[in-house]
Amino acid sequence: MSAYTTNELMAAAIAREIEDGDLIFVGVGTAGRAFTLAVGLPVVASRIAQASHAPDASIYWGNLLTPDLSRMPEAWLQDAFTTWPCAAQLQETSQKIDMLGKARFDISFESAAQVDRYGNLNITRLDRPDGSLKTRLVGCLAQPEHLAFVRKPIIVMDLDPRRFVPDVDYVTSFGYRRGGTRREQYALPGPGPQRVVTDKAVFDFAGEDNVMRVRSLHPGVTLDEVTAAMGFAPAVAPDLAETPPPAAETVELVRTVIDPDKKLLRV
Amino acid sequence: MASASFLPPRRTIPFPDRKVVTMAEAASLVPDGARVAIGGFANYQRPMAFVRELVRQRRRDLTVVGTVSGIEVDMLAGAGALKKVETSYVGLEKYGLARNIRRRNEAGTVEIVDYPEVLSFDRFRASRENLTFWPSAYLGGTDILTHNPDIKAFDCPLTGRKLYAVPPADPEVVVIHAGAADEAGNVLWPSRRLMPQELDLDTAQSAEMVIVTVEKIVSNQFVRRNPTLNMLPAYRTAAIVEAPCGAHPTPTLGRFVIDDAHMQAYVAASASDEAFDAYLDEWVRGTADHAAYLEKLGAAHVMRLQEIATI
Amino acid sequence: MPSREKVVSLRDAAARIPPGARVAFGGNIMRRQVNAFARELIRQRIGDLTIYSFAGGFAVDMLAAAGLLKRYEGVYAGLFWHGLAPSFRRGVEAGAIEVRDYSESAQVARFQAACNGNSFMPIRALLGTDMAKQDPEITVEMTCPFTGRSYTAMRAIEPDFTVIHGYTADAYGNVQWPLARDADDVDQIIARGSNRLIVTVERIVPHEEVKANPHLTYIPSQWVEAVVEVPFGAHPLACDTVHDEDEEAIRAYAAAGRTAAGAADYLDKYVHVGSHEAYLDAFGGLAALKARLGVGR
Repeated sequence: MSAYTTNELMAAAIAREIEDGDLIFVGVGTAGRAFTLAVGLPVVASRIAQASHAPDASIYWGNLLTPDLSRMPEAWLQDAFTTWPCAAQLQETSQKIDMLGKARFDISFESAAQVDRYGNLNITRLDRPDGSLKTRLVGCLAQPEHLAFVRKPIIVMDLDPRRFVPDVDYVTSFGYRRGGTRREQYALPGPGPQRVVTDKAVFDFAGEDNVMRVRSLHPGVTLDEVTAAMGFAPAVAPDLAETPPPAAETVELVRTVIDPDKKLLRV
Repeated sequence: MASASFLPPRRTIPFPDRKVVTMAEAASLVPDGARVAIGGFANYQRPMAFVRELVRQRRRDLTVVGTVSGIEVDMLAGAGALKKVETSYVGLEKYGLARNIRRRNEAGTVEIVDYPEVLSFDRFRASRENLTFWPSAYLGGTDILTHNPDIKAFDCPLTGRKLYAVPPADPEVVVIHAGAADEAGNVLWPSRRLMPQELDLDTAQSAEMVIVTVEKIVSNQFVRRNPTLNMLPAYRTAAIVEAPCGAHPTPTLGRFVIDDAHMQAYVAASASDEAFDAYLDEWVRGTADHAAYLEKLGAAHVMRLQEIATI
Repeated sequence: MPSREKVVSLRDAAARIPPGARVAFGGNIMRRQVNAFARELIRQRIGDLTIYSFAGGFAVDMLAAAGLLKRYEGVYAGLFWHGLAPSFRRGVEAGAIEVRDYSESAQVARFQAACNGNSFMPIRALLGTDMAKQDPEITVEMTCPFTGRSYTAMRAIEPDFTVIHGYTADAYGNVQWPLARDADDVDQIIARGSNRLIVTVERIVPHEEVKANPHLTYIPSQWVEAVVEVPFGAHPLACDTVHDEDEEAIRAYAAAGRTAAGAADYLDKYVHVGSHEAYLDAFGGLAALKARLGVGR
């Protein structure tokens, strides 16, 4: 087995973004790679962070606050979730949605069918060039709220030129800019997407225009490989670095304690 | 005074003259063209027996107002019963996209009106509080505004900031599936609950006509022994239907797990109109009622879906 | 798992409130008013306060008696069976205390707006009333953008601090309420809209106890800045399901408040005594109080 997998590297990179005391919003559902990106990596990253520099970081999952991640349910079924030990099991939907509106979440994770250079996200529909509907996707879920209210939204996606596009067909969630319209104009409480963690590189949003910028390349990946996997040319950090590989103890922790059965980092 | 034509009219549907009714009677309370909220969340605890009865009765032109929608809306779309859904998501989660509704939406025969998830919940709060709009501050810049004609910009009367008015959910009928109710119509909730069950409580408070299908009708004495579980008292319910395993193939908390094999079969069948029609002929139109549907599933199969009650 | 403990003393918790602060108080009429906290504010002479509440009374009346209340916004200020809030009334009539009166649904709408991050929530209950005319900073008449229907826009309550008295909490600030209780409270909405939340509780319990019944967590730790163990923190009012109203003590308070001098004597005797423990001692101590009010019977 190699020293670490790309998933483990991505999890460690996400973990570094989590600060002590952060409240982390984790989604539910989905399958395959989408599950790994939306649920698996965030949960593994949260536990890595908790075990090292952020013992007081906690997650929100479904209607559970601070579920005991060392006692994950055996089966991912309704009853198992219901009896999962946790600090709070919210009794009304309004409690959860008000926590979003009140900007109580520090970290959220986003993946999308399309993301553009300004961090606009599309999970709703793909259009033909004339703007008519080509492909109907799932809707918008709470993604608009995430980019509006969360302190540090992290986009977690695999690089793909069909997904990293110059302009999204439909803005489900507003990033920093579209056309001449900038984020400040809408006075959204949150700062907008902060990081993009992919299978090849980590990005931030930088400069006056907050354009997506390569911040670090994963070990062994070249800048050309990154730009070839994107539908637009990202900015490049002047001090472009290598994404730090996960420490051996971190990899050990993931493989023996956090995710021994690969229930989280599935594919 | 101006009145906007796109807002749903509040229609009063007469209540049945007794609380406990048959599934056929309950479904007949929903007229063609009605605006309906269907309980559950994603693909959890959907009142599917009720949905199948709507299909058997060949209901048409329904508008479903939802939050996070799943198989219940997809089945109605596939059966030609659905005109429109207002929601933040339609999908089958780990089973993939909802292909019936997707196909019909792309063909232009079913309309999907998108709302962000939080506002899709807030719309039910607005109905509960009898508000004709709910204010929101954060939709600026999104194409939700471009495509959803029912959201209207206005200036905050206190701060002058640009806000967006979202219309209330205002369902004419709410249908949910729960564990137990008595003949008077008191509905019991598990004390430890997840999103589907807590959301059902909110949904049930957004309309006058609330129909509840239950796993079991229990005695009033049982309710009196468990008063803290009586979250939806009798005065809030219009009709109760006993429908064991009534959420199949979706799970019911504390009773049944999801029927994975049936979900797979459903997904396969939803690949084309023809295949889905065959599915409906076999499982819905081809079964006279919910009892016949359960018989077709088979006792051995249903028993294997039982959850060992942990709550 | 949480690791940040938030337990502080009553003295330290109250010391966080600066003079002139805008503070929301939990509780409803005769239940769970934050009386021990208010007494500590008085001991520390933290004044010039604006208090937001639902149906308040006892706590704000003590603040009024101590001359520390600048403004009150709520649906009620009184002592229920025991009449009006005497010191509060005197202060208002003398022009020393500003008041904004709103109806129950109007005040809930203001707290709810803060929960959502909205600048206001619309309501219909105040149309045509003089409550809607008190303060154009708080209420403005508006029309529904869809229907043209008239509403009053109620401005969100954005307090500097929020104080609530609850039942039990773990050291991290997961606050639990009993399952069977009187549901007539809006404490959770007040907590949900808080910016800095201090919770006093009857008892601090182990985290394992919370985890065993997470559905009873009424206020999760993520909303809470500090938690204080204050048994009988609502006394002489009730903390329903723990102890009932101490009618004898409330009657004595109401009687003392008939004159400013009487109210001042009461504060000297019961409040300026050094601590909450000393306050309880003035009633014979916690054990005697429990026995007298039939706790655990």
